[in-house]
Amino acid sequence: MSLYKSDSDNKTKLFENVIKFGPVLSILGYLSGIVYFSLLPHESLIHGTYISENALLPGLVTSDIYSTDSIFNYYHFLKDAYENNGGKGYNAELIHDIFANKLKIESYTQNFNLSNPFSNSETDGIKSGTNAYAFGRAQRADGTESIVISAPIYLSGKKKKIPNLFGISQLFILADLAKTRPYWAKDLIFVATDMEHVGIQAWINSYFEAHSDSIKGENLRARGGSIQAALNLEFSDINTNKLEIKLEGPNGKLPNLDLFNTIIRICKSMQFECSLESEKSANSDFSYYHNRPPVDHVSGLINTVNMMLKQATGVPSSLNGYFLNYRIEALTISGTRTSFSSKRSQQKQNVLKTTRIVESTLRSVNNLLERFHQSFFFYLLPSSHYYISIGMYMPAFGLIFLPVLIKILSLWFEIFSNKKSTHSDRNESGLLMLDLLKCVVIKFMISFLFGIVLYLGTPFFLMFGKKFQLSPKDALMNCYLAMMANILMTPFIFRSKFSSSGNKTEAENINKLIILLFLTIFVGTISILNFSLSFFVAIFYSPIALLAIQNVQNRLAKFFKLAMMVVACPIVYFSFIYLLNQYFFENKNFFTNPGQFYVSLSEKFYNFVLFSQISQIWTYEMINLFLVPIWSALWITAFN
Amino acid sequence: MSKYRSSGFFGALFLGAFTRLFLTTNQPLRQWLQNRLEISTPLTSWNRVLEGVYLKWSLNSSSYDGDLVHEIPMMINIYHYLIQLFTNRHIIYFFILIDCLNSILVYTISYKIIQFNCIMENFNKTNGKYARLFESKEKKYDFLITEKNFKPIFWSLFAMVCYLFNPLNLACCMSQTTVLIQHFVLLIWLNFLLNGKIFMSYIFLAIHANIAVYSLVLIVPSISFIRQKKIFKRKQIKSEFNLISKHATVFVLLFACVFMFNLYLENFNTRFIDCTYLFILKVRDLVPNMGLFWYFLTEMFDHFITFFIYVFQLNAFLYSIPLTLRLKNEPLVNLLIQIGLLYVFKSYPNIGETGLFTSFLPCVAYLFPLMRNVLVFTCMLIAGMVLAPIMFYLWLGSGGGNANFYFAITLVYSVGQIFLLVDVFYACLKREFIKLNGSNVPLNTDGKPANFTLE
Repeated sequence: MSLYKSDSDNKTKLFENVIKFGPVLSILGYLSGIVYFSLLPHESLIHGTYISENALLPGLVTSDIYSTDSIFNYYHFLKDAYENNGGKGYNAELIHDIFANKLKIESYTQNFNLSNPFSNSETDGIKSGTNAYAFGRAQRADGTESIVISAPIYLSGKKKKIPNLFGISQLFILADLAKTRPYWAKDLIFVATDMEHVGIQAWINSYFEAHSDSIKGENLRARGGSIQAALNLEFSDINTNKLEIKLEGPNGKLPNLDLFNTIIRICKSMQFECSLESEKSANSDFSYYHNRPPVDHVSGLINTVNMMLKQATGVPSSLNGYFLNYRIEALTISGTRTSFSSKRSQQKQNVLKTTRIVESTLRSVNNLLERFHQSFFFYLLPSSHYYISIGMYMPAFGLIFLPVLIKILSLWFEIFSNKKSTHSDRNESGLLMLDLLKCVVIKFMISFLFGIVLYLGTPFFLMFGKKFQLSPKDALMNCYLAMMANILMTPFIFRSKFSSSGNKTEAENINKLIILLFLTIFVGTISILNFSLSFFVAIFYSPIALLAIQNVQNRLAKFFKLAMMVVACPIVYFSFIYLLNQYFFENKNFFTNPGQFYVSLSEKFYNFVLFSQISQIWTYEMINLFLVPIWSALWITAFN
Repeated sequence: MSKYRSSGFFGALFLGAFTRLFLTTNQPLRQWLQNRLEISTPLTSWNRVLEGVYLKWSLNSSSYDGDLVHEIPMMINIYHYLIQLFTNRHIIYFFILIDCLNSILVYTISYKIIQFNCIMENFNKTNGKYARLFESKEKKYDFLITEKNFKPIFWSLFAMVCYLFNPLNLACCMSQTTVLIQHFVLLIWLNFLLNGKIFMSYIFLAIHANIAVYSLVLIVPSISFIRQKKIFKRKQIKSEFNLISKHATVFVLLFACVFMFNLYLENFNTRFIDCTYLFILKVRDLVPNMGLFWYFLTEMFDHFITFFIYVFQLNAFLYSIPLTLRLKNEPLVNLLIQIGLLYVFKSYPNIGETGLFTSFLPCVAYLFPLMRNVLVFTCMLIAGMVLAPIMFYLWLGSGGGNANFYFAITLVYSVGQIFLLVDVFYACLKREFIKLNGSNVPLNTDGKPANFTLE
């Protein structure tokens, strides 16, 4: 022991242990992280959902909807309007008219414009639409709180737009209740929105007077109290015998779990089938008699991964997501049809039940005394009756990222112990600085330059595309791939610049340390905001980053390393995930025809980028600004 | 002035200024930074200054009507002339100028600090103070720093680069917080002090102490430094008490003068005392910031608040004298530690203050090999800085989190800073021990090698 050293012997021993057992611990940690994560939906680890907020009291009220007559009246009225005149009569004006003249409640329309965020000219490609919104003021309340019930006028279908006739008719039924019943403690706001994701954003942005670059909506003429919750109704068909709940909001936000539980509980009490969106379960026949269906591990895991994939993109799964931007808990209830029983009595029953479920949910929310604040905001759902809370899934994430942390620790120790041995030649510090400048600073500057170019470059990419007469989606995809090729070429061009003279290992180690620290900061930060995205980044980039900074002599191993690094290119990796997603969840097999996959991918990519820009979703920007530079730095390091 | 004649100096200065000028073009970023609570605290927010100027010169009332402005009258007057000179649109260029001046001051001060430390060690060595170090078995000839093995030009340039490219300082410059001006005053004080112009330095310390009351305690390390310098110039110190009382009196008189000047500027209306000095001491504004006060005081029952404010404020003033007594042979390290401690225990800390303090760390880079928790506090500081805006967003933006999220991060940040200061202190003490006693590990009473702990 020497007094010149900073550490006591214990600490040195700890560091030696870290270096000695580090590799074993890393592999163990990574594997156990994956195993633990896949065990999360298992019976012994999972928790059943429960309602945390006492005031909700789901399903305790007697419904005020007794017959389906008026529902069918509205439905057929809207259907006639849709079928005659080529669907032109079915629009916001008609809905406004029914609200204002038939139901005689406060109703308005709002016009809005959508301009293409990437086009320079002011008039080019502007689309406009109209929303209708109405207020069912609570008679006996002071109007300080409100609930929103929204329904898009048209739903996006596979081929063409489907009118949301049943969803809109339910708005009218509920509006009638809001007007005539005395028990409402909160105003009901009914919103019928045009142009799917655009209309609802225009309305919400105008409601909160928020500014958006591409969506310009008229100012609203009336407002309700502070919005406590929002329900979004999507019914492509009146024959529904199952409800699906969509949760995921923009940028990985999720609504409070209590709201979801309430709906599930109400469906249960109505004996109506209800599940997550595209939920898989082993026992497909719904058991009414179990309070909770038994845990099914495999399908639970599939559902969890499916939910995470949707959350990771940051794109909201439905229109409810935009409410979450303003701290309004919101869900989408969408109706689907699983069996084709065309018995009219059965159909009437289902219509009545569906409407009652929506009504009952509203009355539960109506009971609320304070904002949703109990229950969970960070969770994963393996099925509609079970949840995985943040305390359960975060350790898995930590274990998966453990290898990088251990590597950082051992690199740190290596650098510092080196410094101690070469302590005597302080003259080298200048040389080291030069090395750092060469090895680290230039590398990072180039890498981040690429990131910034990608971040700011989308309009320019599209402009180039126009010059070469490419369609926007091809232009964007090709330019993006060209940039990636540029990054791949960088080490060849600057080969001599990056290699350092003098005390090489030290500068290299510092370089590696900085890259890993950047990765840690990036992944750690994102894990708080959008857990799923950071999970998918961590599960792949944690071993890849370690592989990239490993010095290998073997030619074959080096080739393998570089090949893995090419796969680690963000766009390649995420395309691969998309491919798997399509294969497993959408049953589309792209493995056989890659050409079609490329076309589909570039279209998806363009839509995603455009959508991100319009709806202010930062997944694309984050990946460009941080993940691409990290990958680029790793690639350059791997090459030397 | 040969020390300025290096390409590195001009290159860094130019690059720093260019980065700042480039960032000014990003309007949304500036807007965002201006509204960040970590930067625009009640004492440093530029918008509040504008309000004060408007109240005084456009409405002809006092700047302190409305309890929004907490700058002292003198500074409000200066800002008024600056705004007239530059107009509010272009005032950012003035801030960039001040920031560049600050970086130059950091450079000269670091240069002086290193030079002084080298000379002092050499002086002690020739006086035979370190005899036991040279008798010890394990030898390390470059343990004592000299200008050869610890090049002042290189390390002070490093300090300057640390100041110029620290993201905290960049953020402060972009958000036009008046903390830059406060830094400027503080740095001028240090510069004068190190150059031996004691009276001038006291004037600037008095101004700074009027802006932020806590700086009063910095008089203690300044006196310690002056004493050390006298010893080192082989001047006889007749009576320590005389020296201390003389300097303290001069400083208090100067402080009173600055205060009276402020009072004169306010036409002898004493309202500003409540809005500046007492506002800092009573911690009335509990808007979240990176400090330790707001959360405790919001969580507390009202009748305990007075007591806890006393306890908390005592922290800022308490350590000054004990630290000075312990570090009387290392007055400059003492100065740095005390400046850092003030910034941790302040009622309205600003992240730029951490930026200023950390940029002086290269001056004591020779202590780094002796530090214990470098990794720990580095990670804590990075985590604090990166996660603070995110936790704030989770709490008040998306609504998924709550106040504890943000508080946890501010706590991590503050504890990280304290770890850093304690580590500097520890390393300094250990170094002093080695210098005086040699590098042989002393034995305990039971015959085993003793451990070096900070108790």
